[in-house]
Amino acid sequence: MEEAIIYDFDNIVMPKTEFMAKFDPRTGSILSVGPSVAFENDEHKLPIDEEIALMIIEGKMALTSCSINIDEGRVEISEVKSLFKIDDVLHRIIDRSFAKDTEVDLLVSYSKKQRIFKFALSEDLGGTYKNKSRKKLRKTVWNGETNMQFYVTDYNDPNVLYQKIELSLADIKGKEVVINQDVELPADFSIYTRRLFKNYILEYENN
Amino acid sequence: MNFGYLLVVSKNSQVDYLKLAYALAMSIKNTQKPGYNRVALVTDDVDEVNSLKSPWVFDHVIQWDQETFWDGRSWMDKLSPFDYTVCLDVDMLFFRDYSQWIDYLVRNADIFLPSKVYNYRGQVAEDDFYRKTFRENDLPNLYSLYTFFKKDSDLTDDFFELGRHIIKNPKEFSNIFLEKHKPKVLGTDEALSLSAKILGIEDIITYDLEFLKVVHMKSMLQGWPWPSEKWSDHIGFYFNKSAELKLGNYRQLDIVHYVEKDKVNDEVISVLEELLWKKR
Repeated sequence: MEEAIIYDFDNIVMPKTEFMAKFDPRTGSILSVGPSVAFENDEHKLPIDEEIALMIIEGKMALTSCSINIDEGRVEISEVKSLFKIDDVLHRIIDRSFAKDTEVDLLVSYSKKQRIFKFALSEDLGGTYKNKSRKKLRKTVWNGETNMQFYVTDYNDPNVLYQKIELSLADIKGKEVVINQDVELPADFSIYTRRLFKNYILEYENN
Repeated sequence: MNFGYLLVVSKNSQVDYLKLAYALAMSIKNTQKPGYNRVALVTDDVDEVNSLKSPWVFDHVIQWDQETFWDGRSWMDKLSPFDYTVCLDVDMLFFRDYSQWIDYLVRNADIFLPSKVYNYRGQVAEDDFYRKTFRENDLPNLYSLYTFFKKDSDLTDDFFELGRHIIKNPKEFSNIFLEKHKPKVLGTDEALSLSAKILGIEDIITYDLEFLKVVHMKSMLQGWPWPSEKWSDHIGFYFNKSAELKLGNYRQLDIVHYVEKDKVNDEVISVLEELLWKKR
């Protein structure tokens, strides 16, 4: 008679779920996110953080609004458009003197003397600004038509708007963009934007 | 009149409560009339106070390490150096002169705690979420974040003595008085409310005062039609160079209990310090 195998169901330890993102190698867009067992036969896939995977699966982050940054076999979401935080929709660009993180993805510089704003993407994202810790070029694929809006407002108060600036990603890829100051600004002002990158910094040029 | 505000902090690995108390003290100094702007700090680490840029913002610094966390606040009547005191939670900010509130309380009360708080739009906050213990056990709905008391008073002695006894024996009091809905942690609000109920002094220490308003920023008190964990996910905290605050597009003029401790950052401290130094 065969010996019955009795499983101790109360003490089963479930293995940690690993999540994968399946992507289109031509466009870099994510096609699907799920547990790794769902993609066993797929060629173009990379591991993805559980937190980000769950946000996509639960609908808190739109699948189609993310692009993949493929770097050493790891998925890094370079564009984050979460759907529920005010800080992602209306993100204040922090003054460099108060920034804890010195790495810059997009730098906005202001010259009071010349009355201009300059916008520069970091070098590793295909722009012109050199971060002190030089990173490898992030192989990023994204839609160049993606629009960015920058709102020049009263200091730490987006309720009072002075000037609106619109740029596309294609505008600042490989070059710095200069925009004229349209109106008189107070001594202290802030700049808000819809968040596409992690680290934005505002810098005042010495005049 | 010997009046002042009392702030109680203790060292914590996750939150810099001293920084919050410092910001609150500066906002008090920047907005309240002389005679109504003194601040006493109770702390378990006096050396850390001296590392602040303007430690003189605290008129008294009292070293005390007998209790940790909010339990220390239950000793406020013994720790305060003032004859009349308002003990505050440290994650709060002041935005205009409230000295007329103090004049009223000194004339009319030995103890006063508000029984309602407001959301950022100035509406009375209906709390069906955080205060089940109060509702189910018919406790007076006291908010100890703003506690006024007169030191030399039998009522004050009895109220706080019993409150301390309740905090020291949470299980016993919960089992007898809070059986309909026991709190996970019996905090200062619950203890003082229970003390008021047992002593039968609810109607003496709290009543409707339209002018005394504290904005309470716990996310589920904001009257939004969806559940939320953090209020700052939905509205911005806009603190300008004049130390004026807008939450979303609502300018705040009453005391604000901002709850999320990261709101007072180095930039906020810098603005408050600059105003303080200009005023000095």
